[in-house]
Amino acid sequence: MIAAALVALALADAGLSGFRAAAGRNPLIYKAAYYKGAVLRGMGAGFGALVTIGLVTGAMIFVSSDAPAQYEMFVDGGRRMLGIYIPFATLVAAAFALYMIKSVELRSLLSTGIFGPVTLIRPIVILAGAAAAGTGSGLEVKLGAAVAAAAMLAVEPVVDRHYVNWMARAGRIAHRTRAPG
Amino acid sequence: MNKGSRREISDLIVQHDPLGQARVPVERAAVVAELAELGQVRAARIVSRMPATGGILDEEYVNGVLFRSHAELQRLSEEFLQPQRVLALLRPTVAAYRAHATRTPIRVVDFGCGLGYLIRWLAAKGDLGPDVELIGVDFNDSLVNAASAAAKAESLKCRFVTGDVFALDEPATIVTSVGVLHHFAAQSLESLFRAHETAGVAAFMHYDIAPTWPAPLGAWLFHAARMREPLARQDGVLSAVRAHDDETLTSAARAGTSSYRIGVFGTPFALFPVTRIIRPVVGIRPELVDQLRRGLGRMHRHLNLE
Repeated sequence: MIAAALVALALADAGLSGFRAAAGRNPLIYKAAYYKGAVLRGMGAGFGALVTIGLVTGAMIFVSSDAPAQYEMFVDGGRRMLGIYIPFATLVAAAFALYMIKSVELRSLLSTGIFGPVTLIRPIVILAGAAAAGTGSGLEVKLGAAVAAAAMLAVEPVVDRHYVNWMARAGRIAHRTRAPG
Repeated sequence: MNKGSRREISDLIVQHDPLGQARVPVERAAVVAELAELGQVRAARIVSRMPATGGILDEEYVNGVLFRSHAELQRLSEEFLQPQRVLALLRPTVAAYRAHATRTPIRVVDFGCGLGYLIRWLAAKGDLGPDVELIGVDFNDSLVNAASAAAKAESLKCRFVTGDVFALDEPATIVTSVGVLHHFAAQSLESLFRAHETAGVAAFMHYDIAPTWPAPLGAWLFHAARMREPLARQDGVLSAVRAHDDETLTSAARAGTSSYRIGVFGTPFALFPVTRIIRPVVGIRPELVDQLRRGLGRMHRHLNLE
């Protein structure tokens, strides 16, 4: 249950990372397919991060002299991580729910009051979750939490590379086109 | 330092001849020196890192930076629903003009259009009617080219022109802008508004950042969270600092014109200034005002015309 919740949060976060990497780089009006692709790309990168995290933690459990106890320590660490991540995710989810209301003023308020600040503090929240997981734990859990945090923080820069190149191509095409008049 | 004396990088790295027709080479060292003299150390550092040949800023690089910065600006416009804000006032203004129409088509011209997001969004929305022509005008030909390419890619019925909005072959009926007025010094605003009257414009609505108390903080936060280009971050925050207040804008518009009712279109929730991110100074021919108020419905209370 703990692992499933962390996986779900990680994939949601990775999807949003994909969206952020794509945002502000496509000047077209109709971008639903573009953003859908970006979210899927982010989730793909997130899946890669999860595989990495799974391999590292799985290897540490496998080589442990007491695998069940080691597994329980990871579960406890994951529970402490969720203690940080769930309130943050709840805040973001609530803001998205309110954003569905088509009010220019409300959306502006949510953007300035919630979405902007949470984007800025996301790395801090990820590191805080990892620190909470590692607190009072053995070296294996500390290492697993550090790998998890690093892998999730790497998702956005990885996806970002794709959209940097995408925009460079778009810019070249745009500047080759001459406007009339 | 006077807030108006600070300069945005984008105003300095692209320069045109006095007629505004052709780009002229820009000396990197001169721009860096000007920014340094104004105490804008970070801005000077950003420009000093831009590539130059023989001391002249690389035009292709500058075009690329401006393209990326404007794409990021478009993202902010999308997030803050800026075209929707403009349409809320533009639609009844077009309807009011149509009711008194003396000339068709009705030309809605966006002044300083950049990548033309507003005009392309209006064209995609298609709400204004078949008798409305949508035109974006900007001095920067690289941005105009990019706007044209974007419109063509989505088969949007609008066009983009490089040049002076008040010297178009086909005169504008309604002139709009978003985030342009703060680029003008306060003492230049009067002549800008006068040019509308001289060109026979029926109405104008120039949206710009509202200089509310949280605006600089909000601009910093949003540009830190959303913008990647150092130039966009730098200029974006400065634009909130340089924004003109309602009194400055309406006074200049009244001083520069005599045939418009002038005012500001406010917003509900005035107690929450973060919702009032941009607001327009409005000028409209007196004969259109009653029709416009009817078209605005309950929102007419927020249109304070004198």
